[in-house]
Amino acid sequence: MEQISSTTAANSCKCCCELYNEEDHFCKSCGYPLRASEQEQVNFIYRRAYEKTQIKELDGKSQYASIIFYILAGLLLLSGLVFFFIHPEDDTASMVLVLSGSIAVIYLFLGMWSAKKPIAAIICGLIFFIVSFFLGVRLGGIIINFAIAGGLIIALVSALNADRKRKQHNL
Amino acid sequence: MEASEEIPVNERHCLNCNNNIAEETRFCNHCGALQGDHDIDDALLRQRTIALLSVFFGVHLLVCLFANFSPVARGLVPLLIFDGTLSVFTLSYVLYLRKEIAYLFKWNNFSVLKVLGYALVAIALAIVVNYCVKWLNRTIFDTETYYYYAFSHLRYAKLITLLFVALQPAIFEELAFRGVMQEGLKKVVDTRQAIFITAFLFSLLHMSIISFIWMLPFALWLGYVRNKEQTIWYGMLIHFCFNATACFFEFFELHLF
Repeated sequence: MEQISSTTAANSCKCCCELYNEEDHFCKSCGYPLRASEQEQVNFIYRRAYEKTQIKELDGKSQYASIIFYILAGLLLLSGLVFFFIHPEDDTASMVLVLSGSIAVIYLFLGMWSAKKPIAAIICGLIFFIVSFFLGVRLGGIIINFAIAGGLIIALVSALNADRKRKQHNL
Repeated sequence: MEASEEIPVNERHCLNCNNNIAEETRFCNHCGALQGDHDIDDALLRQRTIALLSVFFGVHLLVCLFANFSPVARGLVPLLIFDGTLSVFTLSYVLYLRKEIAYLFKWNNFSVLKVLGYALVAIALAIVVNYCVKWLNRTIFDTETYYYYAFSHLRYAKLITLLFVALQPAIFEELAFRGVMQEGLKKVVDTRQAIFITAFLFSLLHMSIISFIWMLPFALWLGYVRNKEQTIWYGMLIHFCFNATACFFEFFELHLF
């Protein structure tokens, strides 16, 4: 009976809006100090806001992957079209166009996927980039390819860190 | 009823102050400490799974890259060595994870109609794909490739082709991807993503950009069937029917009947 009355008398946390019981000292959901001094409560909210900003920054960095995939798709399609129209008499022109178009479609799909589920998409995209490099699909020299792979790795690390922070602070 | 007789349901102790707290609590409501024990267990399990799967896929990728690009990897003997290596490697993972994937080897909801249905769809799909691929190879890539030529000098060449192109991949690729990989990924990401990633990696390992376009939907279908039916047998059947149809397509084309 006592438990029921305390549940019904629940209030809402100032930080995350979760319900809490009268006897709670801290919010179960975000750790907000319900009975601490006002200064401590303000500090907690600032710390949490800072973590949110950091997560936003990391999310922004992870979205580089999406941009990289779109750029790769565009460049591959463009290079295929340019080759096809510059060398129409070349027997391999149509083959190059079909291949570059197919890879462009895959990168386009990866770009869209990484906007929603960055970790899974970036891992798949990175492996796809490495395999297609070995299959002979190379944009520019070795340095450019290393830079693209590096960009994807940075985006992956950012996505993983954002995920970790989100879980740690229940954000 | 006295309070001491009550059994706390879905409760645990706080890691810091040892007070009773609800199971799903992330922060102790008495001392504010983060309750990370379940998360740590989950994180460790995820890390272990990611490491296991990375090694698993990495070995597959290395063997496939070597088999496709090394000049010493030509002919029947290297092919058998690579296939054998990957098969043994896959079996070792299956044995290691036997408890977790044991349910996939049961065929509780066996249905003759389903078997026939899946087999017919796989055969129809294989005919369409093979026809399109042959057309693409002839008109755009100006090449003709036949699996049969790898075994044509052997006795019982047709049977051996069927064994190595249809049966062996159907068993071991399904065990490797829909078995080990998909089940492992389910611990790291949600089921839909696990199916997607498995299908993507499976298509990628065939080392052909053009094949990737039709292989990805096919692999997604295999992943979906394995998830829906909770067994690996339908997948193996579909995979076998698909590859066997490709073999028969070649036999007809080469006038071997």
